[in-house]
Amino acid sequence: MPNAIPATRWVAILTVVAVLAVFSFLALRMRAGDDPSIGMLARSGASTSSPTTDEDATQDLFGDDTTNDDSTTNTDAQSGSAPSSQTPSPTPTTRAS
Amino acid sequence: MSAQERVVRAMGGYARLWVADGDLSGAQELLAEVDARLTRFDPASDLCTLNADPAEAVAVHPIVGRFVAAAIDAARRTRGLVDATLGREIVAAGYADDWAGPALSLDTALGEAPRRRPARPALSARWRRLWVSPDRTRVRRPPGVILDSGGIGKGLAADLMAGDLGGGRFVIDVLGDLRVDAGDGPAIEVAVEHPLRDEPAHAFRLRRGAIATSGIGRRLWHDAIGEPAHHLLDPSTGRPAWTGVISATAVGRTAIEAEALAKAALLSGRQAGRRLLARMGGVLIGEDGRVDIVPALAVVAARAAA
Repeated sequence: MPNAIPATRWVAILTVVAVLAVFSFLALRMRAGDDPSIGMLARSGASTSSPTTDEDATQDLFGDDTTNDDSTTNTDAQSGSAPSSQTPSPTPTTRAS
Repeated sequence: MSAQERVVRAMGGYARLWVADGDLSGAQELLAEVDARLTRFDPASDLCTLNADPAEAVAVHPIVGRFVAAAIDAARRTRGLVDATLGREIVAAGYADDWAGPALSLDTALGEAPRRRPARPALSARWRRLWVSPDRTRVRRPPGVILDSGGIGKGLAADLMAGDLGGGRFVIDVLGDLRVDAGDGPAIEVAVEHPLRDEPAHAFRLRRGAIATSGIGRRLWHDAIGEPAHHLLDPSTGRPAWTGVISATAVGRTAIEAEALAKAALLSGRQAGRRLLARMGGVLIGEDGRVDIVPALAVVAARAAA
């Protein structure tokens, strides 16, 4: 069989293919790291349907124990006055610690 | 029953609890328990015991299990940017004790810091090997992985206390990670601290939900090789992240969610950070002090429809 490819050449070809596959995988992962918002936003709120084991263990996180999405009302309310009611509440401050 | 307010020392700072009509005793006990179990500054804590255990699978208290579950979810949702498996790296960076460290001003640190760039997930992705049982009483992780409770611990404490209070009108402030519920009253105003100015950067009105801030301005030090350091690490390098953003505030439905969003936004840099905050709203503050308010999509849509 004069046209048969020698075993050493097969090894070389397979090695090149494997290296290319590894680099492609790493490049895809690094690209994903550029923009974590893609996955995060796409999956926000989806964890309630997580099935079993690992997913199941996280189903009470990220908002599943709250009841609405109106937590961001008046997000541009910097000029708004402080709330007044019969029970005055403190004006807390969020800050880094 | 009348309004109650308590200021409690916890987690290396002070937590402030306020309820319009209710009892804070249960919430305060929960805070103390979470603090005691999750601190990495007490070798006898549950977290340190877990970190030191050579076994791969370890029985844990449900609070520790919930923390690990939250860490897994935060990492998954940020594609590894919020990574609680960097305990060894944070100690190596010089944050080994519960102290503020030698004073290093933000100006000095920014002047000495390396080139700014967005942080990236670690290729090793150790968090993918974390597992917790559905009942939160067993944890599996590769022995040797050191978990850092960090901000997720604060968020978890706030969420557990909010769950204990149930409803009504309350404010829970765990070192800046907040859970609020306005109950039947008017919305509660929450100020956002500006790390470079004396006046707030912004204020949000929340009816129910959470808000958290991640920033580099409060704990800065020189590490063992004399480079400026802080506690927010780039998972890809294990070194402090310098992204051009010094503070990120995020609104969320839970404090854990807000905490993870804020940290991921800071680590991502201004451009990607804006996208992260867009759904529920937030604030980014850059090194130059510029305040970038990101309105929630719901508010943007309401404005467009008006």
